[in-house]
Amino acid sequence: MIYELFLILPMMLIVLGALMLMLLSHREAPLNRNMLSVLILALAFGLTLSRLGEAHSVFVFEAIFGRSFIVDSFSTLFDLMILGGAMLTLLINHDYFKSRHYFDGDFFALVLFAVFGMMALSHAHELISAFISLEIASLSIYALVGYNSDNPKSREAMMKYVVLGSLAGALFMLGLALIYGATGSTELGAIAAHIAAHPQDAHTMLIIGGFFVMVTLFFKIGAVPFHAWVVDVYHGAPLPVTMLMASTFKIALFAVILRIYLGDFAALGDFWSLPLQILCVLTLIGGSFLALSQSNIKRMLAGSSVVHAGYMLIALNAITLGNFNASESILFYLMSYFISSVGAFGILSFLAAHEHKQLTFEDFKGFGYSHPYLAAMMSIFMLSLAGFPSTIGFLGKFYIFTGAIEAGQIALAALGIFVAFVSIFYYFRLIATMYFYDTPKTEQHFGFDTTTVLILLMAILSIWGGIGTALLPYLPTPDALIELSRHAITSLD
Amino acid sequence: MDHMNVANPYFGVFVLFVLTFGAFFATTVIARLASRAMAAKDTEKLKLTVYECGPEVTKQPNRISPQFYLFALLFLLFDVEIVFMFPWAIDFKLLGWFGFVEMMLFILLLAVGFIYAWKKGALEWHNIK
Amino acid sequence: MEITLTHYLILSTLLFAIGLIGVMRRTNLLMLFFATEILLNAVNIGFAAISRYYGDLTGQMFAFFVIAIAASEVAVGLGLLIVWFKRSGGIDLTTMTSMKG
Repeated sequence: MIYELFLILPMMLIVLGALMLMLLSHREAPLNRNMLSVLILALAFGLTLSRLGEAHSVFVFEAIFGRSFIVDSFSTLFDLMILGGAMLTLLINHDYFKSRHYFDGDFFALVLFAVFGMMALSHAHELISAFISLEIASLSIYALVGYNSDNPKSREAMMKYVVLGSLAGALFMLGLALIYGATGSTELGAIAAHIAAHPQDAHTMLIIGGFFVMVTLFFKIGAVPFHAWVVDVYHGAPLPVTMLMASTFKIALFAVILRIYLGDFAALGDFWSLPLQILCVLTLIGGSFLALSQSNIKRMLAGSSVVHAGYMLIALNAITLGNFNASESILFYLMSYFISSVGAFGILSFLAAHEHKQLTFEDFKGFGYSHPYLAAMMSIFMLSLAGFPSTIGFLGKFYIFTGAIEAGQIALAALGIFVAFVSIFYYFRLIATMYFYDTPKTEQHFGFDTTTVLILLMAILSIWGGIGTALLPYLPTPDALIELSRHAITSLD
Repeated sequence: MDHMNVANPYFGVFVLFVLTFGAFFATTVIARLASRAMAAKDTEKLKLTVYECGPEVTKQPNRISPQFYLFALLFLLFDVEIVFMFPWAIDFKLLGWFGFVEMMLFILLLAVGFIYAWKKGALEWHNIK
Repeated sequence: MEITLTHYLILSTLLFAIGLIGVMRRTNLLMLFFATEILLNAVNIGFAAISRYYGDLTGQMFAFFVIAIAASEVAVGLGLLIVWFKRSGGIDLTTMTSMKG
């Protein structure tokens, strides 16, 4: 009992912190709410960290909740990624929060509620609890997207996201009803047991149900036939929210997707493979077109996040074909994408905080001369996102493509490599704009504060992830991350 | 096999499911195409205006204030939670103290939300214009 | 005629289809929220019927959760709608054209 309480303590901390911030929000207290929420997240992070590497798999309070919530090594690793992601997102936007008047107490309470929903998502061992967690996270994010209600773009993005998101939620429920009808349960273990007990059946209804559930999850990660909202919502949302959605929320979604695919639908791999391949091809190509046609950096990053989701779908497809090692490459890719994209968005937020720009390609003309250090770091992030060798992004793509080739998906891997070459065009366009234009502006002083130090840290991490293995033998390497992911995945069986 | 007995009626449902979807989409598409094809295409500018003569269209003076929506919304939120209390009330004796504490925690969470709404001034009458 | 599970499921599917058409064809945001509510309640009928069929109460429990979630979704949606209305004076989807993605 006490042990189980200890296991869910991080989640309880987040909820209590959110409630506290909510009740404090009307008060004009002289307290830094950003730092308060970072403190709460850090406490939860520390508590979770103490369990890392310990092999466990416990259904928390099984007598009360049934088997709907699980704490295992897999969820521990994802909790760490989510908490760390949210913490970095809040810290890196420190300047941005100070430069805008509309970030009051409610904003941070909503962020904490969203983080709670994401953590619960990685713990969900039943489709209904997965849906409730997904809704907790989504509802908070709807409100966060439209938080700056003075900005018509923010309002419009919010409305689009709410309408399409609630439709996706209804589809999830429909799929859930079909799965319940087919198997008599929505608990992941029971569904797997049902499939194992009836190997001869076609499982038509189960597959249709699973299809609807997957449509919702792919909608939320922005895979291509369901991507209509991505660019507008990422553009309209305030920058910290865009960061949260692009990195942390995606991590949580892949937690539940991996749990479903590895534990549950593994037996139906033959069926999933074809739709996933089509989805991969569409996402990679459609995302590239989206990213190529944008003139605003935020929109370009939004388009490219669709492409990155496509790379992870390649690995997911390898999983359905039986190559379970590919799941580690998804975890590693999520981390590498997180590091590079948070860095890139961090620079945008730094600029938006200090110079109130629209952040189009035009604004970056001569950036290499006016902000030499930031421009260098931006180049590192762009190289890492493009998958240039000696950055962490390269290793991430490398693991994904080798996983796909091992599973016999040579054509998909080739398409992925081709799309990576295309992506060089739009990432290098920014680098070229920064360095190849002269500017009358003088060099700006590079000051150290929370935001810039964190951006620097992200840049160092991107490089360390790519080449650090050989240079610093005593520090943990990307291999350690892979080892950690492998350990986490084994707890799923 | 007993499972097939369960699965068979469902397959019929699935077919119906596909058919109804098909029928609905077909109806909407056909209705749209038909109306487009059969509509009188007289595009004289005056005919397309709302009134060919008479006063300009004005907004209704007796519009309902959006404030009512806000109250309705709060009512909806706190009202719906009753669905969790009915099952608890029916099995109150069986659930005993454990159920009681659990429900009190739930109500406490609702109360926090209520206090928040109160402090934010959502219960006061604002004239939204 | 006896009413069986199939009838309930057909009703649920029909309602779902109606809701789906509503979401796709309506441009009034209030109507869109009505339509999503129809979608979720269609699923609820399915849940309750299947739960009765299996003699398993979990399905009915899910229906409660769906009701609560549908209410909170609509509450958030309507709250955001009020903000939208206050700023732009209308609730029509066709006015959302400041970004083209």
